[in-house]
Amino acid sequence: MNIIGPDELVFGVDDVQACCQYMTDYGLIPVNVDASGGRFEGLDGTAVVIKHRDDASLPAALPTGSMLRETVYGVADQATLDAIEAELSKDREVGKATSGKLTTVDDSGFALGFQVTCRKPFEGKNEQVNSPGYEASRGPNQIGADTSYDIVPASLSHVVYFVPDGKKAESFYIDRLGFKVVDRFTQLGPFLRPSGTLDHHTLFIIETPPHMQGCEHFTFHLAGPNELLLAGKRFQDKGYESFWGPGRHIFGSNYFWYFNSPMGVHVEYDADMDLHDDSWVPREAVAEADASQIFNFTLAANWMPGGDPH
Amino acid sequence: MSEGVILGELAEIPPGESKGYRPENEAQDHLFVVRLTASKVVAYRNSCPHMGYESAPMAWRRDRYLDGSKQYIKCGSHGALFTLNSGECIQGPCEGQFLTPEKVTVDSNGELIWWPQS
Ligand code: FES
Ligand SMILES: [Fe+2]
Repeated sequence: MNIIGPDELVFGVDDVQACCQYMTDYGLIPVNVDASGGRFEGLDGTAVVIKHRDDASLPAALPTGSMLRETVYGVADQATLDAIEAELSKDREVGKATSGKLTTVDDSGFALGFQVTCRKPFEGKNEQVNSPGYEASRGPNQIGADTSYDIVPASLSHVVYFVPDGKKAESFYIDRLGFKVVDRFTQLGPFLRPSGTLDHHTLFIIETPPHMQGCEHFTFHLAGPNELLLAGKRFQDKGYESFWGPGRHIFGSNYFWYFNSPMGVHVEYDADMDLHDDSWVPREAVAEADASQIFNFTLAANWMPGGDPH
Repeated sequence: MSEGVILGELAEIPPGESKGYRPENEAQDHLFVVRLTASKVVAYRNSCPHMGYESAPMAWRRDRYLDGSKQYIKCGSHGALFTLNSGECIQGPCEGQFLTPEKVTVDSNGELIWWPQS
């Protein structure tokens, strides 16, 4: 199944205005936003959609009240969509929207959509580093500390679910949709990669007691670690609450910075994730601090050591 | 016997809103106060009881501890809702658990006084 990754995450929220402000300040591009919500796009067109929780167009909420209402996957082509429809119709209701999008639920009760991907080509920014002993990637007179532009997150990377039955949850994605386990935290769950991407994970599953079912976080890829640090600092300077980071994960190698949000999920900036193909042998580790990150910092205020000596 | 610590003026919190405090210049809020009415406040430690996330900070933005209806305290980590008056979690991953109450009073000058429990 040539599934590329999440195209859209749809939230049904209690405070539409706050969530729209939040996603705008995070850096996504507002599209058709009004008092009822709207769409917030990364550079490649992947998006977060904000609606009021009572909006009739939303799939049913989980009994736990999680505000994540739908995860829409982008797939390569119509043939993939047809194959997903045939496979999932064997044991569940699969709806079809006028747009052609398939709608259903996974084995944990999360509402899913599948569509021919909305991802479009875009001009990325290459974070160029000058490494000693290696050909310079930034030539003479090219400035690295460029703060002159607004950082727009590039692409919706991954979503993380809390599920009541980890085995059942992962089997659905592996056996029915062809996701591969890339790495695993023993007592939490697997990092999963669908076959249409090389990204380390587009889905991470964490087993919890049933009343905790919901979404831990989602994230968009940024161009690189420098952009991540700058975007996170700008976000924190706007008053948003840092939860964890900036740091660098071990599984996936992605730099991370997590923030609280009014959608009741953490929202991450991530950058520089590892790529894997089918030759990769999954690693497994007990989930603990030193297995989760190689380092974790806290932002300090800018200062001028020495001040002005005159 | 602990001493009271002046947090600031009650008037800095609009009725129905919340505000976080860092009495010892902490990097994040130590406690937050919700102004329920013109003169009545409640206060809790900025520390979510969600198992595995104990002590997680709860605002989603500076001073923003409430849900959209302003009827509940909402955790900005995973959306747990807590009653204003008792701090009981009524929905979310820590349902049935309680926030840690802090004693905050309003003195005759309209100042908020925090009484740390030892
Ligand atoms: S840390 Fe507060 S709901 Fe999870
Ligand atoms: Fe992540």
